[in-house]
Order: sequence, then structure tokens, then C-alpha cells
Amino acid sequence: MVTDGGRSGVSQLRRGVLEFCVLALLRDGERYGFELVRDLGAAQAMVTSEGTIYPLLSRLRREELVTPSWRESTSGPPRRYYTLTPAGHRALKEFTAEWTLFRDAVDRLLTHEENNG
Amino acid sequence: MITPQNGIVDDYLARLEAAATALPADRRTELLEEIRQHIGDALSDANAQYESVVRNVLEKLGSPADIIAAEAPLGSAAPQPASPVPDRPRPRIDRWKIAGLGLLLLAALALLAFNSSQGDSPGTRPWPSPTWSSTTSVATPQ
Repeated sequence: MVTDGGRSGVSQLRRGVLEFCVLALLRDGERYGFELVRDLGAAQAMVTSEGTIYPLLSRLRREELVTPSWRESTSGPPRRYYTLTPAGHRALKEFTAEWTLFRDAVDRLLTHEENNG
Repeated sequence: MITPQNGIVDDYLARLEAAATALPADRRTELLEEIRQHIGDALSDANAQYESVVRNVLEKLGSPADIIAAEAPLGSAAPQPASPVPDRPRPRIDRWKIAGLGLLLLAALALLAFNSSQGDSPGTRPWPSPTWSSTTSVATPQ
């Protein structure tokens, strides 16, 4: 039953995919929390409540997909920078392969429906 | 550095702290520090001169309840948020099923009342939270 134009479906999808987007941002180099939020915000509607990124980072730390290190900052207190662990790299690689298949399958179905509807 | 509009920020942080009581103490301290630093970064980025800017930063952060709810990983029981998570996906149930489950719930309540009046220890079956899955388990034959 879709009554909201698929918004709740997309929001659930976003919640599941967000952690891999964080891992993907960290693949290119270390970042701290606020930078991640800013970069995710630049990708349209990727995060609805920015503060939820911190619980997510805490979980990724516990799962040892990312590793934190404290760095001095030019302004304000030291910052916690995150880098991908080897397990993080693996998880991202696996997800990327799965996602490609999933995305293509959904695209095919949606396009098919559009062409026939 | 958070200088202007400290009141709004302090109020937000106090609400977050209140919502975070279910978290382990060290994680609570850490989360509060992370959010405080985020607000500081966002405000120095946005050049916080106006109350509306501060409000916008806090709005984008999300409600304290949303943040604390995100501390509980999907599919895990702990840590429980202080208030029920509003957007937890629920099983789809049509109207007749709801009516049927309602009747079952009433029957279960009656049965429970009957059992406890018969001297059955009430402590052996703690009353569950009112979700549909647990009502069905209460309604299984005794």
C-alpha cells in the first residue's frame, strides 16, 4: 500500500544505504563528522536528521569498519577523524556489487511498468 | 565557538541529554560532545549572527529523540530509547485482522483475569507491551 508517493519506502531505503555512503566518502580519505554531514548533505536528501550521523559513526566504530583518530584543529578542540579499516573496504566492495545488481533490477522493473502502464 | 543565541543551543543540548538517559554513560558523554562540536562547526560555517541561523542549524540536526532513536541499531533490542520509536515499520494488517486481534486481546485479558483470580502467580507472565505480535502470543492456547 503506497499512499505517500513512495516517500516512506525511500526513507527506509536511505536509512539502509546511508552507512555505505559514509564508507564510500571515507574511501577517498579521512574525514571528521561534520565534514561527512556536509558532504552527505550535498548529495540531495541523503540525510534528513544530520545528528543521526553520530550514532551511525559510533556503530561503524564498534563494528570496526572505521577507525577514529584525534587530530588537532586550527579552530576549536581536537577533532575525531575517521578512516576505513580493511573490513570497511571489504564491506563497501561487497555492498557496491550487491547494489549494482539491485539498482539495475529495480530500474528494469520500474521502466517496464512505465512502458506498459 | 558558540557565543550568540547560547540559550537556544543550551536548551537543545539539555533536551538531548534528557533523551539520552537510556544510553551508557560514556556513550552519552561522547554523543553530547559530538553534537556540541557539530553545532560549533555549523555555526562558525554559517557565521551565526541571527537567531534564525541557529534555529536552522538545530533543525537540520534533527530532534533529540530522532538522534537517540538512531543509537539503537536496527534489529537490536538495546539500548532502548526512552520513548517509543514512532516510525518503526509495523506489519501490515487489514481492518478485519485488527478487529479479530482486538477480540483475541479481550479474550486474552479475560483469560488472564480469570487465571489470576484462580491463584495463578501474576509474576510468571509479565504484561507485554501492546504490539500486535505479542498479543498473538498471549492469545495462544494455555
